[in-house]
Amino acid sequence: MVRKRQLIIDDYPYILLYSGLLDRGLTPCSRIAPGLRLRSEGEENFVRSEQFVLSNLLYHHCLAVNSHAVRRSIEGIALKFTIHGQHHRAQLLTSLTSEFLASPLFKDHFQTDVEWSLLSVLLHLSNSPTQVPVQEVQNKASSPESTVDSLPEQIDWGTYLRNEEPKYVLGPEEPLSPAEVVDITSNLFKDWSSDGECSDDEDTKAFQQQAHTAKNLHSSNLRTEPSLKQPTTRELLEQVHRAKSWLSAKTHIQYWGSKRPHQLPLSDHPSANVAKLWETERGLRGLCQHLSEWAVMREVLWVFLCPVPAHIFILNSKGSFILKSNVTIASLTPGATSSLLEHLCEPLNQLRILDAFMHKCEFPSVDPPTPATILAYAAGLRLWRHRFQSYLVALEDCIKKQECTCTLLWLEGELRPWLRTLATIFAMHSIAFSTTTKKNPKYTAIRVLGTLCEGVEGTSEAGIRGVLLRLLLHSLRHYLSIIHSWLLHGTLVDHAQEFIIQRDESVKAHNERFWRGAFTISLEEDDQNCDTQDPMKTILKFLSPLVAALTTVGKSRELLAILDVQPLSNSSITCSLSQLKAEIDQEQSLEEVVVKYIKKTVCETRGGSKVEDEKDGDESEEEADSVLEVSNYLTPGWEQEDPLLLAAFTDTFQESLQNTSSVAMDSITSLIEDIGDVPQAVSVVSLLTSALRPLVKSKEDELSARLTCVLIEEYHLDRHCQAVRSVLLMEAGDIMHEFYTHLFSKLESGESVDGISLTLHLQYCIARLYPDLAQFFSVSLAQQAYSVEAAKWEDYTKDSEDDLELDADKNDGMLVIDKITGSGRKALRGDHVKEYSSKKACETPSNMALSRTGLPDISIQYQAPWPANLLLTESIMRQFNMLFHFSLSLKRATNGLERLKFRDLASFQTITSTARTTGETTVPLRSRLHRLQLLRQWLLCFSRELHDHFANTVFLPYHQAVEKLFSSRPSLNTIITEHEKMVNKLITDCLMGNSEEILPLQIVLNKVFWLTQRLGQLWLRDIGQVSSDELTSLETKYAKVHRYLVNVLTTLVTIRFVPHMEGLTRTLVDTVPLLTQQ
Amino acid sequence: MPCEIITLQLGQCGNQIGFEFWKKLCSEHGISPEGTLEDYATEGTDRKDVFFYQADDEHYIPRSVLLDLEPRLYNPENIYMSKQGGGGGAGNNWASGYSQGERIYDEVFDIIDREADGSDSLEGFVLCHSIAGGTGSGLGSYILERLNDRFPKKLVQTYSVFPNQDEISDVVVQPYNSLLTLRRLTQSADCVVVLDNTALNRIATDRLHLSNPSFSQINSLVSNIMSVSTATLRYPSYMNNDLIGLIAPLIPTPRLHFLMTGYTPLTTDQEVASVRKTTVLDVMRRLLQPKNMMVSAPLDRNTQHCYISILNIIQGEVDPTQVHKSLQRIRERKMAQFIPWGPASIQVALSKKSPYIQSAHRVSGLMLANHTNISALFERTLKQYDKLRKREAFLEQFRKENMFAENLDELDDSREVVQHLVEEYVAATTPDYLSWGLNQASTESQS
Repeated sequence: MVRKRQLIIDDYPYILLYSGLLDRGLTPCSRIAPGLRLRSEGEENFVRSEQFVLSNLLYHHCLAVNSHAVRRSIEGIALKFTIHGQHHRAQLLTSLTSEFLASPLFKDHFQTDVEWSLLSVLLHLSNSPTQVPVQEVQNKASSPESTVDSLPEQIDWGTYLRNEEPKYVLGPEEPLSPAEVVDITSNLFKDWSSDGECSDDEDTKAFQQQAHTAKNLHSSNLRTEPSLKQPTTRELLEQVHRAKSWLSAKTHIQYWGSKRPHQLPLSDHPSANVAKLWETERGLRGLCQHLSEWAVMREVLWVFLCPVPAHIFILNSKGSFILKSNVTIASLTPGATSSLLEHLCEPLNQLRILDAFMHKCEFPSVDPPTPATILAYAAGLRLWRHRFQSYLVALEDCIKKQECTCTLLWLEGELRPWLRTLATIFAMHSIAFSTTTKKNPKYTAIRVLGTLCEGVEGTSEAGIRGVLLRLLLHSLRHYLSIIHSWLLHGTLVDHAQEFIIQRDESVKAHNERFWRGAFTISLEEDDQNCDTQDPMKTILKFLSPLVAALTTVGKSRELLAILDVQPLSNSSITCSLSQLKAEIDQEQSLEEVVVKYIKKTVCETRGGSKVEDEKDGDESEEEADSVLEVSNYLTPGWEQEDPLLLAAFTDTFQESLQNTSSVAMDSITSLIEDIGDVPQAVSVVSLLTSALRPLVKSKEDELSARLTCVLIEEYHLDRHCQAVRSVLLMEAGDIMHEFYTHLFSKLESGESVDGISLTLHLQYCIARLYPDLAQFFSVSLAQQAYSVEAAKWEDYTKDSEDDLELDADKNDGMLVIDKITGSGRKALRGDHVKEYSSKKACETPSNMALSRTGLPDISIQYQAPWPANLLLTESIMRQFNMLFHFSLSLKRATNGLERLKFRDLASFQTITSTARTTGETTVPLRSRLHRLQLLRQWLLCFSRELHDHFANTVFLPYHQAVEKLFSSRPSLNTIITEHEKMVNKLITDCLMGNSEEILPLQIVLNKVFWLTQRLGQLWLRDIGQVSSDELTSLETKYAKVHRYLVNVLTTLVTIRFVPHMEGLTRTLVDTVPLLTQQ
Repeated sequence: MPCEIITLQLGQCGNQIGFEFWKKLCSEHGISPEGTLEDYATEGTDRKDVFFYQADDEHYIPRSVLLDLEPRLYNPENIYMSKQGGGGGAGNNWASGYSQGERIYDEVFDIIDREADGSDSLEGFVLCHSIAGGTGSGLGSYILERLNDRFPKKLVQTYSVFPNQDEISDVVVQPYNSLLTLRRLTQSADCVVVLDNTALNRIATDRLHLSNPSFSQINSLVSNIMSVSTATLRYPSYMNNDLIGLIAPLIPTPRLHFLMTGYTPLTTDQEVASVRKTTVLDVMRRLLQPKNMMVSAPLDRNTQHCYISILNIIQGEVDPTQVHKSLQRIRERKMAQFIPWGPASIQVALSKKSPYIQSAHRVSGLMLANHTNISALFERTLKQYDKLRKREAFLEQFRKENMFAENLDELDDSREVVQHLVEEYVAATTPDYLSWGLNQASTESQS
């Protein structure tokens, strides 16, 4: 290596280069010929490689300087000098370089381009002189050439560069503005906080301020420089003065202070001086306070941010906002200003009230508890308020920036939608809380919800609808969570008693009223409320379809709990995957589901393109309101221009805000807040209904099915029903046959019957069919032991007035029909009615007697064990007993007649035996006998006709309907209501109303029975003693009864649509008896 | 108190139809030949105790008394078989049967009493017999009379098989037998369901296309009628839960108690038809057609025969409102001619079907009708009797018995009773029937 050095020692640039390379630990060979890797001299081909390398170094230009690059660099430096205004230097550099290059020394030099190499080195050196030991190398290396041009120069680059710099002189200190020197301390204490943002008050100020700061910077710089020098007194004074003036320039006196603020800057424009001109005109100069429009705008924003009395907006004695008089802005007269600002007072009042309400709700009372709905409502309100506030802040920022022209009018325009929303909210709020009297929490809660609902429905503007909907959803959250827990866990958790459905604790689950009365939806307050629009009704609009389902769910839950049954059947536990999924879905809270649904629907109804547009906005909106603003600013224009920028900004904002806002808002709140405008076309009520309904419905269906299943399969509801039917409607003909024949025979024989013995007998009969249910039946007699003797006696006494009575009956029947139909026939028959009402009055006792002769007031009770008594309530049993009474009287008539056997006919045998012996007596006797038999046949057919007709067209269809009902396994609710309907239909089909009066059919049946009894007496008596007059009177009576019924039925059929009666009527018309042999 | 009914089966014919009847009842109630309930018979709504009694928890035994004067192969306990053995039974002789009845009175009524005591509230007796043979008619007549004496409060219904007029040669004395039995049926029975072999055979050949109908085929028809007519008693419902309720409206006066039957749809076991949709109206209309009547009464052009009363027992899936509409239709179109003097009573009883028997028909119906035309049967008997009597034919067999040893008044009396019956039926076709007693008496007094 030493040898190598000596070899090229003369070529200093190479040496330089070489040493540099060596210093960096690189062999030149590897650089020059990258393929060679020579490490030691002993290696093979080392010599040849070295030769190759050196030849490269000497004769090739691989390491040669790029003269063009060097020239360009130097030219660039020169240009730089020129740009920086140092033409002199640029010139110098250029001339020196050309002189250097033109030096004859290089022309004959054995090395080509050595001059460029030198320049290149110099350039490198000037670039980073510290990296290389410049001085040393340069001294050593340049020593041969320094004689030519480098040595005399000895450039100290620092001084050299500074050398020909023109002296930079700072601008002269401007004289201080003539503003007053202010008492700094007072100002500081007064407005320190708002100083930063409030110190400027006019447009020009901003520029001035910049200038000021620049100056101050310089002055401070200057001051530090000569700090070593002792300042002179004059300088000190100047400094103090300067500082004070700076401070005064920076400090701004507020217009609301006691001191008179500085004058507004003057403008030549006439419209800018309207206020002043007006004052001068009126001679009121000095009375009005002139404020800048900017200041007024900001105060407006402040008061909206926090509605407390300020300078312009003050409170009057009543606590409402008014404008301070004599305040104006420069460009308006005081009157115009106040008219401009006046209408802001009302919103302020509203805002103040709302704020007070929200504040109150922040500290809810514990006793009595404030309804959570109200709290939720307040929270929703607060969220809106928060939005509003952040909007105001954004507006203020905009105004503060003064980047665009903001006027009071513009501000009002910006605020208008918000104020409209505010007005709507407030109107609703005041309706909701208008009641002066203290109501129960439920009432308050429902009222709030109802008003909100009505508000949403009644508003036409999409934006406001959106706000109200959000508010409604917030307020509804508690209801929804109640519903949620009710549906899922079966407990109606309602501490504040605010839910629309209340559990009536007085009704126990075992009570038969349970199904009807367990849960009350009390809206009795309605009546006191004379509001034209009742919010209660509105809330019911969407809740009412649900309320029924909800109560069903609640009741089913409770029943199932008491029945000790799992609410879900085992089959559904081992359910399919889809059901499992549904279950998981249900784990999601109801609120979430509802809100999501509504959101989806509302979003869908808005135009698709719009949704697309808002997508980005929505995404960023999700977290907080402020993000909303940011993204709103960003989205419209910038998205197209610079998506990256947008992304960067939204990302950072989201990140930063995520941390802060996620704490404040839970997911549902943000979901709710996410809902945008609601177009008019969407009915919120139906929306809510449709959101809730499927959930509630599915739960209801599930529980109902389960309940029905349990009730029918384990508690045999249908069997209880069947048992009652069998007994009271005599469906089980055999056992009831046994019972009523026993009863009738007792009555016949005049034995006294009492409830206990009848009960025992009935139970004995029933036990054959329903051994387990027999114990629940019991018979009761309304009167004490019924006496047949008395009845018979009544019969005889009545006998004489029977004809009259039948006529009266006929009219009674008509009356009854009138009552049933309620048709206008009354008017036509008015006089008739009057006539007969008097008649009827005197005949009532006999009618009553008639009813008593028919049957004792017997009734059968069925003490249904617990789950069954929900269906077989007392009222149902009462109706059943009416029917029982009816069928009993039917049975009694037919039974009485059937038992009249020909063989029992007392004189039958005597006649058949004596027929031929005593000719003269048999003549009438045989005939009378025949008539008696035929009368029996008539009566029997008549009563059988009635009996069969009602059995076939009334009882049997009922039986089938009930069987069908149970087999279809509907919900308990359906069972109860349907069953009730069926029983009611039975009653009406049997021509029985709910009234206690005697109905035509009953009259007929009683008459037939009475005739039967008479017939029976004759039947058993010696026929010889039966006069034909007696027979004739019986026959005519029967004919009357028959015709009476025909009349009644014909009237009924013509007046009303009673298809099932038409056949009977027709039959009876066809079979009008021809018995009477006149 | 299920209104029990004791069945008495008399003679060959009575026992045969009785046997079919019990077979039918057993299958309808799901009772096995051993008397135990079949496994599938789980529906407990039927009333087995009307016709059966429970010997123990498991076994159901028919309340039936089988009486025959000829020893025959027959199973259960309540059988009375003549101990005379080989005596040739009644030998198709009414008088023989009747007098044998007198002899075995105690034994037979021991059995009947025992049966009657075994029921809580015996409603009545059902008698199965033929009126032409010896045992069924003779012993039947005797037992009818005795039942009336012994159980005056109980109903007696008979299923009486009237002889096939086409095979009159079988028993030449059947006009005597029939007449004598008819008298007892008129006077001592409460209700007679006429099973006319003539009509049944014709139906079998003409309607069911059986070339040579066997007894069992005819008997299955009969048993079908018997089981349906008792269906309302066995399957409790709103109405007709007792025998009296069933027959009382059908019978206006004591003697007019001979009931015709009609059944639709008529099928045999061979016909495995698909379930046909039959409506109630169809059934009720068909029942009114003469071709479905199981009584071979020829059309009499002189008298306007008419229905006195009708009871339709409809089984199957029936919409009750349909019944009611059909009734209206029948009335409107006057499909049935009714007596002019009384209520045109068409009763409809809906009854359940046995759940254990598959039927090819959705709806089936049985009509029990009281029709004046039935008198034609009696007239025919009277005519045949008169023919025999004129020649004093075959009377020596009767004279062997004590009853007829002295005179033949019994026959004359019987003829008079049957004649009266026929007259009453004819009278019932006119409106004058209302005053029938009067005219009758006057004519009688004149004579």
